Amino acid sequence: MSSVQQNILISGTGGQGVLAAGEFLSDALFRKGYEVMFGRSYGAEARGGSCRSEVMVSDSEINDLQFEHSDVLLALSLPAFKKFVGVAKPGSLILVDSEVMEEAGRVRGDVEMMGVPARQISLRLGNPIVANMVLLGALARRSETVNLELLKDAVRANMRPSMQEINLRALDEGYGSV
Amino acid sequence: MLEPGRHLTLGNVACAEGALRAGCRFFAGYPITPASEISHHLSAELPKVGGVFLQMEDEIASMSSVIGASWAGAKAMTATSGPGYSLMQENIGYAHMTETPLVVVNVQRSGPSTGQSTDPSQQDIYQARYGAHGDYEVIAISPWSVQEMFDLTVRAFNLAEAYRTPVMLMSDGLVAHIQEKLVVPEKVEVVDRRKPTSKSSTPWGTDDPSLVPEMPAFGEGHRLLVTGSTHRPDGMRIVTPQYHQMTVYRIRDKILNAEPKIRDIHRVQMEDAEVAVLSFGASARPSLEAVNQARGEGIKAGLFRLKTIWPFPEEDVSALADQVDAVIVVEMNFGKLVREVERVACGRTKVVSLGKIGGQLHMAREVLEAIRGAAA
Amino acid sequence: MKSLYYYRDRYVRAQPTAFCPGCGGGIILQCFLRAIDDLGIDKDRILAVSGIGCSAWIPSPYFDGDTLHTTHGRAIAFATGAKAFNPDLTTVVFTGDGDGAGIGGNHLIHAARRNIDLKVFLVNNFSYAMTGGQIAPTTLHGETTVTSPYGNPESPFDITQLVKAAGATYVAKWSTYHVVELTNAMKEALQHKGFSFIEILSQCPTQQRRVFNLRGALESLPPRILEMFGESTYVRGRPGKTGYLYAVPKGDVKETLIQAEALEGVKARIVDHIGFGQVVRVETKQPEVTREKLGGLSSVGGVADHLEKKIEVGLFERSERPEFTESLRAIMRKAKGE
Repeated sequence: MSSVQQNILISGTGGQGVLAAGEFLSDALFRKGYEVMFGRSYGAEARGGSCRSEVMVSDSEINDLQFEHSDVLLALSLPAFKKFVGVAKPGSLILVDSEVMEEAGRVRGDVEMMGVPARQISLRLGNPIVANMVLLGALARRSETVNLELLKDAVRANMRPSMQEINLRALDEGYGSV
Repeated sequence: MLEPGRHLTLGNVACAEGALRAGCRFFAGYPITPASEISHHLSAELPKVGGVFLQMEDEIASMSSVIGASWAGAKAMTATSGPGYSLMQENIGYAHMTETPLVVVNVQRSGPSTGQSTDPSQQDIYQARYGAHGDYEVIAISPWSVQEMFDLTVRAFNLAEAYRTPVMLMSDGLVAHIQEKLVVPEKVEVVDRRKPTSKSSTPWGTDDPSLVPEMPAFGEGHRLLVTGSTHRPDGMRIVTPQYHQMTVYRIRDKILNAEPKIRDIHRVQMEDAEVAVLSFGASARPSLEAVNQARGEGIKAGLFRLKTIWPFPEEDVSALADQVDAVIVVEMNFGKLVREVERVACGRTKVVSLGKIGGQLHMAREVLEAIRGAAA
Repeated sequence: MKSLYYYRDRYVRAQPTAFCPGCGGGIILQCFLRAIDDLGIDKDRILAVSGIGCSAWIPSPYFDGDTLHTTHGRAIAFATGAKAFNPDLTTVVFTGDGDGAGIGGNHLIHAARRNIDLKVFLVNNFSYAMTGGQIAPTTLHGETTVTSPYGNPESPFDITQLVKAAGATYVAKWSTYHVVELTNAMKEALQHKGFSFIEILSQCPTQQRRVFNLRGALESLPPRILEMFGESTYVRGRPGKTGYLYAVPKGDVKETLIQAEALEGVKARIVDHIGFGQVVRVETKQPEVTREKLGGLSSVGGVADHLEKKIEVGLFERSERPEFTESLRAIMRKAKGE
């Protein structure tokens, strides 16, 4: 990638694995040698309501740390989508759960908005918790920075063995879904 | 503990790791956002190295027990945020008066009061300087990255031990709560406590030009008289004007005399700078970005970052006032440290306050605008 | 028996002390020195921690071991840090009722809950004495102080019960009247593994004059207050002295004494009583008959039996449960995988 900083925002409702997705993504990029800044909702802020993971990635030092606009926005829930859709830069990418997109409608015409059947796939795989991984898989397909193998390495390195298979499959399915 | 090498690490974890490597063997704290992860990490790691982790009933007790442990011989630390920091102030004053080495980490959050409990600020820098009652000189240092959460925690312990004084690590909710690169070195330089060799020592007086007395510990037969009251060099309470002046001036002067060594300024592109951005902690990050962007526009901007906030580096800031046409002070508060800059600059340069509250770090573009304005 | 010089020369750093004449602080220091001397504890292994107030001056500067004279109310928290880091220190805390149960009450109950091996001697003189005799959390209801000129509207803590309920594993209560029992209790506390607490009722001739409404020459007060502590306490678990009644005067206590003395088969004298103030103590072999007769006297406002409004002293708790610094060491072994 170029030295331009890329800001990725992952959002959803508490319990949807938003923070875990941020951690996997950050770890995957960091392993690759990128400079990474990972911030997230904390404490009282993360209780109830929407939560977020902010991942900044660059191949040079990151110093503009206040997350202002996203280059990529991932949204797993309707409230999170509504809360964060305004953060997306004009012309940027939004990957959103298909069901959420259906409900929300295409509220912004100035961005590239794609539905990913994350929830649907996760249910088919047997656990809604992996919807986050489906979205990350889709991101890997669309992004030059994030690639599927890196994410898989991060899963293998950080996840307990019993959970690896379903998460790896979720990544693959997400990758294939867009 | 993390292995030496490159890690994607939370700021608070880096702080705890730095403490462990500096020789911290006692931590007491009370849960508070955004400082709690320091406790989490140390509760797991300290016992592995024979250290003690205590969760106390409040921040007053935390600070108290850290002082008690320090006198029992421990390198000791606590970590908190604004509300807890306020509660600790009385005993921070006690630590100054008794010359107790210890480290207080203040992960600053946005106040007053509960305020924005999860959001960062740099609003407590005067509380660090003047928070306790009475006269004293404090050492306060401020990290701007996860790496410095590690490096400056080590330095905080070293300063505390070298000068037998409480040291404030003025972090903030941003640096504490982001994960970014931490390179753990193979070896860190550690300063250990100077202990007396004989029992006839005066734990609160010295002929040494450093003015820093040697420090015995409890249980070593020194029959110590540790007191927050004005005392003689042997510790005996005596509240005459002469002893008060002698004691309190020495406690001040041991810090002021060492100021050149405590001073720590990070300069970027300052050699030919005409506009300086003076900042510290997290807000120096977008400041640097803005300086780089301004240079791209042909503006001779530079970053003048205080890693040591207190004692305030008057000499260098004074020289800065002579060098540049404008100093923009970037800080996450109403504009606080700017007062010191104005005081030292004494009208010799234009001083611009770029304070910001609301729990958000400055955007680089905000700082850039100020640089453009100052350069115009 | 060892002389006072023996203790002074071995254990006392400075003299004369700054205590007011007749203060209980000297008695308590003496009991402590006898306790450690009897047990043969090396003073260089003892850390004495104190806060702010008259109680704080008992060890600092007078005790010639390690002393840590801290901020108001925080002695137990300071001591917790020192003891947790170096469990080999015999760590004692001298605190007061204001210091320990007022401003420092939270630390007191939490230290008891942790069962950390501190020996806490809480000197209860029923007021904030050093600052001028204000209401303390121990001042009895109705008593006059400089901040309760119309009588204390508050009611006191029972600190002993509070600390016991909070989980202390050794709890006793004595007074400066009970020097032998107090010395023995301190020895027991010093030998007990766990949070050990002794509440010590102590005389303050300077402030209790007002608190207990005592009239008389200043030099007469110390023994009078000591006698009052003796009169107003009973030892837990020991059969109380029966055959005593207290006639509470309506007006002048001397009038009550004259009327009571006139009764048949009784011995009467004026005593100071913590709960009632000056009363006439009436000794009798026929309590029922005497009670009725006393009640009929014109100068008597009420009759109390030998236990009414008295303070129970003695041993309140002695038990075992995991001690905090030992638990911390167990955690270290676990963390190291030993």
